[in-house]
Amino acid sequence: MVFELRKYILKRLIATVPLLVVVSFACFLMIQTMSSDPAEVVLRVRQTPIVTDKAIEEMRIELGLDKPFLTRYAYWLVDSFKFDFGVSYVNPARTVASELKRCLPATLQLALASVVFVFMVSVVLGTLAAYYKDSWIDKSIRFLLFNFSAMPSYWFALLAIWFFSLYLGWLPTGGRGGFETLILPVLTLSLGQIAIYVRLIRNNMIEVLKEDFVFYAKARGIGPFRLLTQHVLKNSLQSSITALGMSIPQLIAGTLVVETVFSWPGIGRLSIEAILNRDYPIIQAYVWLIALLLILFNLLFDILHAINDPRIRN
Amino acid sequence: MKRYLSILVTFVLIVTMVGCTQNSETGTTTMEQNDAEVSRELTFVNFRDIRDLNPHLYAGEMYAQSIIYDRLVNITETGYAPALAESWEISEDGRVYTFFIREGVKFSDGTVCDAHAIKANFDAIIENKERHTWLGMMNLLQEVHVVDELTLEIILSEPYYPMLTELGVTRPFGMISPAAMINGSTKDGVLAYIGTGPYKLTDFVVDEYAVFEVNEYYWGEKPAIEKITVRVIPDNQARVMALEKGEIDIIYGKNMVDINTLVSFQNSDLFDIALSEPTSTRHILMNSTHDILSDKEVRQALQHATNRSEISEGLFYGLEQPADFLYATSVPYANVGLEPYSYDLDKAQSMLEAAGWIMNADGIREKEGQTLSFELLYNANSVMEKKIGEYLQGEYKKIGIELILNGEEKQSYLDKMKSGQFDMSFNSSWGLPYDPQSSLAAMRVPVHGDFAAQQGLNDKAAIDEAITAILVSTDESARQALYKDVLTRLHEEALYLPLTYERNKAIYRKGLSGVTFSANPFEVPFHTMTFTK
Repeated sequence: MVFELRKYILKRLIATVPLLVVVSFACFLMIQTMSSDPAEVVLRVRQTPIVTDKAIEEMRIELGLDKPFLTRYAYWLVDSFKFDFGVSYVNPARTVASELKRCLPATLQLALASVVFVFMVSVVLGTLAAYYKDSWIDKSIRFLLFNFSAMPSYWFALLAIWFFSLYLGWLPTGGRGGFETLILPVLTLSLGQIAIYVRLIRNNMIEVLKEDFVFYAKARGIGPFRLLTQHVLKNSLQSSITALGMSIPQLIAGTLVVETVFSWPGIGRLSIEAILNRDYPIIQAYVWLIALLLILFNLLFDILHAINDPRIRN
Repeated sequence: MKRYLSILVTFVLIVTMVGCTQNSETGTTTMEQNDAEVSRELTFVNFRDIRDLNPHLYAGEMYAQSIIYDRLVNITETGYAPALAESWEISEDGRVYTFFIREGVKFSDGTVCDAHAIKANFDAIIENKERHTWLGMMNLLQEVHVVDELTLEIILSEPYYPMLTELGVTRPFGMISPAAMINGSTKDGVLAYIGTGPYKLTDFVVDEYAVFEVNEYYWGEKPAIEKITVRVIPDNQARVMALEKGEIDIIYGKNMVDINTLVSFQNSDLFDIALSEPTSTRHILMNSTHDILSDKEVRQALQHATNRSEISEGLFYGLEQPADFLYATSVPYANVGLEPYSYDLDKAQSMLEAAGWIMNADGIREKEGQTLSFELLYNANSVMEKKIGEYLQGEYKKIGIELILNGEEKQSYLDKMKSGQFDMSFNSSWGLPYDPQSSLAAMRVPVHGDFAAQQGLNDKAAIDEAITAILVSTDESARQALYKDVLTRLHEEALYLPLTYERNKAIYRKGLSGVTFSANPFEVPFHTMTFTK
């Protein structure tokens, strides 16, 4: 059993490598199709007042853009296995790896806090909505979530700042600091996800509540609180946990708006600036990183399933 | 059981609400306490990080470079002021500049700033000459040498009148401590940001904040504000709310706050606003190589069809004044007695008709099967450009001109400008101290939209020659005459459709005073600011 699982994990991990190579190549190829010459954009972004053709030519050589496409990709690929993603075009004093290292913790903090928050809120609301199916509680939960999740997060974020920071004078408007700075960004980031998980949990739970064991549990005289928490909930969370495997990388990749509005120094802001400034090495590393996270989280949750269900391993 | 849960939910709600009220009360008390003291610490804001503050390159934020580093001379509203050079002499032939360096100046690391240190800076700048050729003097620079500890001589191959202006720009002539250079070089980076200016950088976290404190070695009068914390808030709306909350004291800059927000603060009890003199000219550039716009009559008709005062009043609430010329008459040498193109729709119509453009059944003018239609390129990030574009679209429609708006992401917009892939495009003059000499000089090289747009002009060569002659002129009246020639030609060609004069803006909390604007809109005169309460 243990041996089989190990073999399964190893197999999947090995399969990750070619997948990453394919993703990185596709990304490398797509970046080439972006408009604008990166050497010229770099000079503009570094605010060189007059960008002469000679300066562009020098910059192209400095950035190694004069080499053929495949050579550049080969170099990148070899270095990427050493976690060396080169130097930022725009800030030559910073390596891409150091930029990711600087920004990733802030984003991970935001994403993981959101996952915890989403899960806690969804379990409570989902359970309430299922247990009181079609009552006013269920309807108002669904009504509110439907509305909140339909709000563009930029708009919601500004309303939240206005209400909690300005009107109530309760939380800072932005910046990354203590726990209080985490509240509004997490709330904004979680909103769309909460709606998904509440529905998932509610629907599963409604199905589970119809099962015979619930009927017999009730007959045994088990109270509703114990029934829900100890029996029904456990059986209703399977699909939510699977979905979580995809939600975590999605949350990490989806922090752009939140990071901008709340001045949060994470990889969302890093990536959008890199795209606008044609900072190829950062874009490339960012895509690679998100792909890696998706693959790893997917794998992690597959393993969890495999432990649960030996049939998957074959 | 159902009832039990409902009670629980209600209870939680009540507790949360009580929590809110209590917290908001404590919030108010802290605000009041802060207000009671006179602060010597300013919280400033910027939309992005300070980035690389190497004074010899262009990638850092200018406001920060300008408070850390000094130049030889400063450019002020009234002319040149001494900075690291206490005085200077210019030889008869205009080729030799002798600078007498201020005595006893030290960098914030304690190193002496004498003629040798300044020479080391020039050497480092010259090593990376290609980056600085936008400054005419770089091409004429023959020799920089130390005469004695406190005397520096710069020799040019030809006289060059904007020499002092160019030495006074924020970069690349900010002087850094030679100890911070890497083997005497700065082009590949510096070890630390050490200057002689009023402030020094004491702390920063990338994309979060930067802290500047008074430089104890500063040679001039020490500023009243001892500590400046600059927070990074990229979003416009969030920045305004941070100001309202009291987290920052001031929002300052040309594009840091939109016009509607500024107007909403106009009569506030808690905040003041300030506006600078015109800094630069917002205009639309017409492409003279375009098959319809190559006709001067059509360009002039568009000038007459544009209601600048309505744009100023309707879209800018009068806060940006209507512009008649490419450079405001207050710009040096730009008051050359030109006649503005008046707003006159009838005149515009008859000019178009005279040029053979006849209204068709759809209300759009036609000539030989071609419709009178242009594309107006704008930077998609700019809300104002889009608004002006939409306004003009409606206005031009009235006289049978179709305007198609095309918003592009910034880099693509710049690419299209450079390669001349536009009919009409939004553009701005460079602003002081670069106007008019540097922005005119740049029209001669294929870098900005101007060069591409002017290719269809018959007198392009004559204009370029005159610009070159301006830069090497030594005689004041001859120079003025040349400026008049260039500006008149450009005005009569009607290539530039001036709209409004842009201004620098500030919103700040009451209690902060001395908010002023310097000649260079990218610098912030922190030294004039004080808190009165």
